[in-house]
Amino acid sequence: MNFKKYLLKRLLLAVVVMIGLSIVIFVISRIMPGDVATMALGSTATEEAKENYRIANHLYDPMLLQYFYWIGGVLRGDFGTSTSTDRPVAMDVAEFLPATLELVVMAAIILVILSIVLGVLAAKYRNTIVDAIVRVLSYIGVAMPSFVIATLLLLFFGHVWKIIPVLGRLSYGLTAPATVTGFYTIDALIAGDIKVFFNAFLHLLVPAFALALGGLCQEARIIRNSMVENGSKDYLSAMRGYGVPEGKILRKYQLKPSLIPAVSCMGMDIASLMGNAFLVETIFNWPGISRYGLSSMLGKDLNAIAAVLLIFGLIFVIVNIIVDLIVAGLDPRIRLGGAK
Amino acid sequence: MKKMFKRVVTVALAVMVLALAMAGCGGTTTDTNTPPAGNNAAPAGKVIRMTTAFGDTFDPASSMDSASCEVIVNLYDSLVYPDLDGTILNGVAADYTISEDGLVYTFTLKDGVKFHDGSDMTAQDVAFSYKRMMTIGQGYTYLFQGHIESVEAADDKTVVITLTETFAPILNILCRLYIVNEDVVMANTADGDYGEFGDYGTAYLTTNDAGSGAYYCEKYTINDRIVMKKFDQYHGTFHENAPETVEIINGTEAATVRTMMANNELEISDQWQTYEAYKALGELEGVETVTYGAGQMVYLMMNTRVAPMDDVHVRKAIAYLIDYEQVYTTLFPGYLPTNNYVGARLAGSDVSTEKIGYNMDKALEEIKASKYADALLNGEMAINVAWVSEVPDEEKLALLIQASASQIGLKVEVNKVAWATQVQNTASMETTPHCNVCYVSPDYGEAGSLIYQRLSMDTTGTWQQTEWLESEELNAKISKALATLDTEERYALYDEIQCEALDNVYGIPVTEQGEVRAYADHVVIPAVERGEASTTLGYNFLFKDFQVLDK
Repeated sequence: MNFKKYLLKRLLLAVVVMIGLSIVIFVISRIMPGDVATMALGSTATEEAKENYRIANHLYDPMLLQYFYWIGGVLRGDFGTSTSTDRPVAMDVAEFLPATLELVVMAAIILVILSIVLGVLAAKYRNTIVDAIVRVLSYIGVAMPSFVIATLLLLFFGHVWKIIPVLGRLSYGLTAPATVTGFYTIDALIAGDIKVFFNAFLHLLVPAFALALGGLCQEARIIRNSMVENGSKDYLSAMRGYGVPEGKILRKYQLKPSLIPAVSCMGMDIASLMGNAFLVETIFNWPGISRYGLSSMLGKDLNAIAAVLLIFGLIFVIVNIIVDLIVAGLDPRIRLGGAK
Repeated sequence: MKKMFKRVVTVALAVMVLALAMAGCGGTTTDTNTPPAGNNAAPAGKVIRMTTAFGDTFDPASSMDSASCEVIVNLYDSLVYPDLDGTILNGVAADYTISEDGLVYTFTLKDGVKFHDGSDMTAQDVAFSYKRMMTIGQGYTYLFQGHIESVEAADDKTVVITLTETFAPILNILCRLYIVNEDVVMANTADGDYGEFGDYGTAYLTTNDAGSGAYYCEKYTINDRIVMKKFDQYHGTFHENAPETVEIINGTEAATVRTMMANNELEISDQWQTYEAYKALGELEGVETVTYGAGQMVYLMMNTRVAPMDDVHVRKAIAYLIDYEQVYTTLFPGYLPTNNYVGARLAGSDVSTEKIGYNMDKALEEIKASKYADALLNGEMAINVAWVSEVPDEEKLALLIQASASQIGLKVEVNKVAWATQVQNTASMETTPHCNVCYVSPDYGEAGSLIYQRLSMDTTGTWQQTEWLESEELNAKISKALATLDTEERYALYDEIQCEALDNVYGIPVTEQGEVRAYADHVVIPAVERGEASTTLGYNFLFKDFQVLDK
């Protein structure tokens, strides 16, 4: 199988996954017990208002027809109206998604860089104090849920060592840059506002680190173990015998194959950051889509819940395709069909 | 490609290092416009920032939760509004007359009342606002339904409100008729369910305001915060130290609130923290805590239509099981004891019967007298008590009942439910729990408000009344009381209804909530200064009367 076929297969599979996901999300949201109109309008709403809502939202139609109304709207970018915000869900998503994506991208950068650095250090200095420290940190990072880490970081940087802002996206008194991408850092650079850029960047660091910590500790251990295992391979001894510099051996011949198992895990972890972000967003007052999703769930805002879950699912699928492509790039056996 | 990758990584790392370096130096910045990196600087000007739990939209036609009320009373005006002591004051009304039969109220609007877009308010805006609210049919609509025949503009300055029958608290409920700018609303309608009115501007009013209140909405980020600014053309008066900016921030997470207060990023906390959290906040430098009664009651509601709660003996037994003194001294310090079915601070709340008190022996006697005695005492039947997950303090009361019940061999199951689930469960008799802990606020400062919410047939199947009474006789008494214009006579009827509710244990009024707030000591809260708080939701937070003093 060549690379194009491999890519095509992955994309087709992604479409099937998304269709399945949309059906599951729709069915679950519609079979929830309780009167949807009452949930939407509140228990004090008049009967007339509830009846109008049922008619407007096709609630008397068969479930299959309701699904086609819904999915037709979704394909046009219309997720329906949020019952808690009284405006199109797409508008809410457009407002909140960039904040979470910015946080997740920063968390992903931290995750990738620190996991490789820690993994390589632990492998290079294996069975030394460095390895032991990385191991202990990894165990702590993996064992502690992100909301505990978030709370501890908040208390530490908010009360003990106030060198970095910990709440919200910008400090009080600063105005958010004009929206282009929705990423404050990028939008501030586009607007040429360096002060806002650095302030937004600093606000990202602690929540992103809290979000990334669990994943990076796990990946650091994987990279470390993988590098130790690959380090004892005969071909590396041969390289050394030919006089290839140690740095090049480490980067090109030891680290690269060692990254393959870690990259797969990183993909899953980075995709999971979206879902894991809701508690971190709550604790750090981060106005992102995960917190919006959480409040939608608590408020049983069905259209908003469906939209958030569908978007999370789509991001998960996209990230996994990207990871598969990276892995295929790192390991020719996969893209050439040698490994399935 | 590799070089490019290296460059990207190097630049990213350099930016991070530079940012951290700047963060480290941030506290020493001399630029007054640049906030220190470590925390948000004390803002310039008079600012009040307050946390709360948002209900997402601040459309006055559909919102009625406490956070919405606290915002709406500042963005919008009504014809009349309640003072902290319950006196009804003129809002945009200059004066009003009442017809001899008590059915027609004629209001004359003040001159020079401006909406936030600078246009003049007219009587037509009032009529439009009423029609809009009743058509949307949510929020406080239920207060008006059945009582008002019409709201009409006789001319630009005169509003005529005609009632279907006499209704004593009409002025109180008119405090909830918030006036929107018709032109702004109609210029911002989208497709919707209301025919020629589209969505009636609901989407627009989610993030914008169309009011004439003391503050206007500068920016509302859903789920995050609303920033309100002082309205210079406001028709009323501001205190000279009133805040220029008010920010209401969504979030009640204890660690977050504490961090914000410690870093001078918050002036007033929400009311949803636990006792322990308030204690910690009060220990921060420059932070005080205050507790005041705002008429909100903590009820243990009971589904009187399902076994075993359909037996009054079981309900009485539960009432005897609660150690009320422990509730307001240990569980919720600062909460108030109550002998009434409604809050003691509401007008007409006096009651001529004694509420059941804590008595374990009598609790056991009542259980033994019940037709479910065997099943309850041998553990075959359990009583479930639900509490709302968003209000962690409620669990304490549920656990107290469980502990007391276990001493007489009664099995009580404690269930945690999300608020939305609670609302949904209480919509059907079958899914309504045996008991649930619930806070209920009066819509206006008279006993009739809570009596109506808790006991009327109209509220059956809502979170406000999970008793499922559906008693036409009781309903007739409530209607009669609310229609009685003679104050003494009306209060006597309130008394009679409360006695019936207490004697038959239509839910247990456990305690009156002491609303707790932590606040920065340079902020003067009128309810604290005057020593009296409004019992009408939201009106303790008319920020035009607040003061922000120099630190």
